[in-house]
Amino acid sequence: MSYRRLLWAYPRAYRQRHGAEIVTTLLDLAEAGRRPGLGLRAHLVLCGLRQRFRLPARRPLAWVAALLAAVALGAFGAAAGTWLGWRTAAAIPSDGELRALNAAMTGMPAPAAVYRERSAMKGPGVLVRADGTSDYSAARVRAALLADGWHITALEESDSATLANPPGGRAEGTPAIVAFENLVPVPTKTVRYTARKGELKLEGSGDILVGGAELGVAGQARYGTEVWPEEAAAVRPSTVAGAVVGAIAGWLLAAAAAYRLRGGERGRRRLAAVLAAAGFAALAGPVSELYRDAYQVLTYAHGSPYPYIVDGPDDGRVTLFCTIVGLLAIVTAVVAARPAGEWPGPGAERPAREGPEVSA
Amino acid sequence: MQEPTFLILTALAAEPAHGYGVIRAVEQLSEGEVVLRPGTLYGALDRLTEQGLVEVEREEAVDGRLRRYYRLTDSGAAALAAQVHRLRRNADAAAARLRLSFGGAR
Repeated sequence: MSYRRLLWAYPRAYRQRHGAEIVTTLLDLAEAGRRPGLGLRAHLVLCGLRQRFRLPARRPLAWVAALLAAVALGAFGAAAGTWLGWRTAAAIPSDGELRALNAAMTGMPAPAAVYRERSAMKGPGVLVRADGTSDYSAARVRAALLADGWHITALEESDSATLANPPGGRAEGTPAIVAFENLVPVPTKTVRYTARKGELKLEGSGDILVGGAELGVAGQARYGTEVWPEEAAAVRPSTVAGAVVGAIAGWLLAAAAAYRLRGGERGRRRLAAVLAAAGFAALAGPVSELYRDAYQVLTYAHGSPYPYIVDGPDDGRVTLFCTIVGLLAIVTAVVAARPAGEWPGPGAERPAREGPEVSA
Repeated sequence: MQEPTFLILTALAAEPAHGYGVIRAVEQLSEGEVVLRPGTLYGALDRLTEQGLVEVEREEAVDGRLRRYYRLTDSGAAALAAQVHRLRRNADAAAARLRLSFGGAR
């Protein structure tokens, strides 16, 4: 094995500075009858990895930046870990399959609305909601679920009442809202059902007006059925692993950027510092949200007993905007500074690049 | 200052040396107790150069091998002198206390 290959663990700039002389020293050792053994080779690789974590001396801002980068990327890593973990969960049936099941259960063939949602644990879930007119049949609900391969764990009926507008509806000139005491109770059948299919869970209910023929509301029905996968075993470990990997990546990137900026002009370094500070400030919101998400993932009731939701559909926009602005600012900060200057010594290798310096 | 750093600076105090030269010098200085591995040596040389305590004196290419000679800078010499003072003070204090408690035998 060539000695040069032992240097792969070192950062490229370091390899350019010291690679040749390290190889010379290894050859010198071998010639002196002290051929580098396995332990020494492993030590060299470890030193190379450690070098990647090092920050330039006497640069307190580099430490702050590395710490912030580790915290920020840790948050993104945790989110990515959660997402990956959920890839291993049971797949939710397609919209078409869910609509077919809904039609078979409710006896209402009209296409039902399907809402894809994410639980507080960031797991997938889907809600099928159908409004229409149908007769009620518990046997049909049962048969439809069984035919679709579901194992029914509960199916309960109860009688209740729905308040409807009085006969003749609202008279012309009266207030839009009918007074409570004028509403008419209509006998209603409520059905609740829960079922399982492998790692998938299903829970739903329907309210069907069984009376009220004289009001013209008989048979009005409203069903809602929710399907979600049980928590996959990988979700929590993968969230934690993602946070750790993200934090390490953040530190390494900051360390690499710090060495890159070190050789730059003072003005550019200042500009980079200001841009990076603005970037981290913009990321503060999204990052704290991601940590809140990760916390919820880790503290969620095991097995996803119920997929409750905490975010509205619009909550993500500001977060996304701040994330993009923050990341752009930091990337610009790194790009804005020139690459590190040459190693302070005579005849040191310059980066193998000719012509005008490119800052990217 | 850690011992390898102290010994590397000490090795370079007498004359400029290249990597293997420093390893040999440190081994002799420490009477075989400290054998620097290349990973440690170049990590330290990189850091010391960054701190301005050592600098590259010259480079030679012999048989296609690059030899880079390092030497102590003025601030490196000052740092080493300060460390020598510190170590001597502590060593003297330790010796004095040993004499007090255990007599002159040690």
